[in-house]
Amino acid sequence: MTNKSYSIKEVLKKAILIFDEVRSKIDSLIDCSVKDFEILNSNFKKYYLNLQKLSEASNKIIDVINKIHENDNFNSLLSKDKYQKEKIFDSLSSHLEKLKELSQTFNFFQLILSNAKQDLSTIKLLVTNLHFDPIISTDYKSINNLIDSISKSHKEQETANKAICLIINKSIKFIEEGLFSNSELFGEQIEKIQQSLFHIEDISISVKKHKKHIDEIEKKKVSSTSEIITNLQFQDILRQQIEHVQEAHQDITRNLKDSHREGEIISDDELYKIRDINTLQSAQLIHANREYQKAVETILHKINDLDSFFNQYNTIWNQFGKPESIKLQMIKSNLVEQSSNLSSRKFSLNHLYNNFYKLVDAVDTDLTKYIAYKSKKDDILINIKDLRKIIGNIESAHLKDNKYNPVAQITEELDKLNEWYNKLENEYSNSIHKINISGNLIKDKIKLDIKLIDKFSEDLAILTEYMEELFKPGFNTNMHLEPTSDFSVDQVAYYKTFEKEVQEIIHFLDQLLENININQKDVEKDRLEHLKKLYTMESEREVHKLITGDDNESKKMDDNDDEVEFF
Amino acid sequence: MSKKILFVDDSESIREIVSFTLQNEGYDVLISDNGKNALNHLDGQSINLIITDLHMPEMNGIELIREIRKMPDYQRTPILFLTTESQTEKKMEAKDAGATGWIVKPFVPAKLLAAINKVIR
Repeated sequence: MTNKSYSIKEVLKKAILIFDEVRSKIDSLIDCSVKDFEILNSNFKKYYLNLQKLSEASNKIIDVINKIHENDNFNSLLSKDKYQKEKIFDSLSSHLEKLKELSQTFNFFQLILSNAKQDLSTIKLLVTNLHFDPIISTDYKSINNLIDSISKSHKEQETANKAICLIINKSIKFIEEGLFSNSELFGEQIEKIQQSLFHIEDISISVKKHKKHIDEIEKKKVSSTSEIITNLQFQDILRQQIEHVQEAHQDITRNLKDSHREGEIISDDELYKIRDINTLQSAQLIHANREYQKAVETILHKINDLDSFFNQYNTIWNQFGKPESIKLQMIKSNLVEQSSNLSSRKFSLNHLYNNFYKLVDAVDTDLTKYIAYKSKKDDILINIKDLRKIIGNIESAHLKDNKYNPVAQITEELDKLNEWYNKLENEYSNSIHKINISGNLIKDKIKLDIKLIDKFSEDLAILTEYMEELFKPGFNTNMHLEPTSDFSVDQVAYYKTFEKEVQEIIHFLDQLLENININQKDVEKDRLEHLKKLYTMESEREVHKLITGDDNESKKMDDNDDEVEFF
Repeated sequence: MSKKILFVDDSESIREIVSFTLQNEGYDVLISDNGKNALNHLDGQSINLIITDLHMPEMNGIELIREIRKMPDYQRTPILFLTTESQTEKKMEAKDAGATGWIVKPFVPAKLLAAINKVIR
């Protein structure tokens, strides 16, 4: 029961006075929340941006390194089986060995041919000396014809042999003096590139070491950022809550004005209604204050966490990110330079190879020609046999008369000549597998080597392209970080203003109750029912329920309390 | 090309927070402070998603959706509510108006992004 009677006019006057004060306080609360939002949001962004810059830079290095390291091309480039200096031009070395063997063979043929030539000259001389022998004279012409034929075939064979020796020796010289030294330099270039790639592998090991720590910081960063963003929404939520408080108070004055009857005494029920509304609004403000304080503290705490993550990141960045990015920059420049050297060397090597292919073709042609002379060798042996027969007949005629044998030395020389050609035939048969080397085969092998080198260059180009990504505009190892040290808790208005204003509003509302002096304790839910239409938030309804003790309230809320729902 | 999202809310702080969250994820964000102004953004734009608050001056979220659904180009565009409200009757009203989903404020960034990803993937 109230212990004093008040006119409606009196209560309305007091309520309007007090609600005016409350309104200015509420404005101050909203102003405070706006300022706090601005200061907290701008500082959050500064810390976030700094962290983000370090995070992006570190992750970029990690990405690039992983991209390179996990790429098949990278492992292929480092493959010792494929790109070992000695192995790349292996086919060239084995070809050189073959050519040397071939050279030996044909030099040996040359030696045999020289000896045969010697014998042939002796035979010629001996036959000339027998020009006037009566027994020989009848066969003299045939003998000379056979000797001429042998000489001609011999000469042709010797010329072919000499030509092969010449072209083989030219090839050997070309390989040893031109190709080998260039291939050697080429191989060295590849080794240099591989060394640079090994440095990338070292960096990759370092990246793996730091990745775990970076991932942990990243997770914490995401979680803290999420909490800050969630709590920064307090400004909007608070504004709505306070606006609803304000509307509830306007509702009181509106009702009083509507029911204003001059000189009439306000009913107890109307006084209790004012009291109940004030009690509920005080509760809403206390709740809002508590929520606001929680939000501000969480944001401050989480900004502090971001600062700590920033320091951890900065340490990692200075120990790992920055040095590694500088190393990568150097490796990249080195690779680009070496890649260009490789290209020009490849160009000159290609030029040399094109000339070398001509030599290979020439060897092939000469070998084919030489093989074609095999029939000439057979002719020589037939000629020698025929000659030996004529000389044998002459020898028999001389021996029958028991006379001096003038052709004995010719017979001996013919036997020797025959022996040389048989030897040549044997050696040729033994060496035929060496002689039958295919020039196309070696060319194909070398072309495969060149293809492998092309693949090396292509793979290298892909890797350097990945590295280029790291140094595109925007990536800066000496990044500019926003200063964050000027931020302090003192800048947050809440601690100076908000709580004080809420307390003062509650004090004003209490003052109104004191002035109208209501003693009844119980709040009646029916007097507050109409305020429910103002609510837009679950928290407001919860406070209402707490004040009115209305358990049915929750039944009207959505059973699905999930924050996200799809229709 | 990044997806374009129109976000409508009368609260400057919420507009700021949502823009930050979405832009960080690479979305192109258009903002509007009420339903009426939001409608102006829709002309000649190819918007992939609309996110709107419920309680706004001039034109509330439900009214906005009703207007949007009348536009031939936006009959199938997903529309999400982002609001402090969680009453079933409001949600039903939104659903009937043509909303795609409902997200309660304060939102958790990961959940908001997951919801967006679900409707515009």
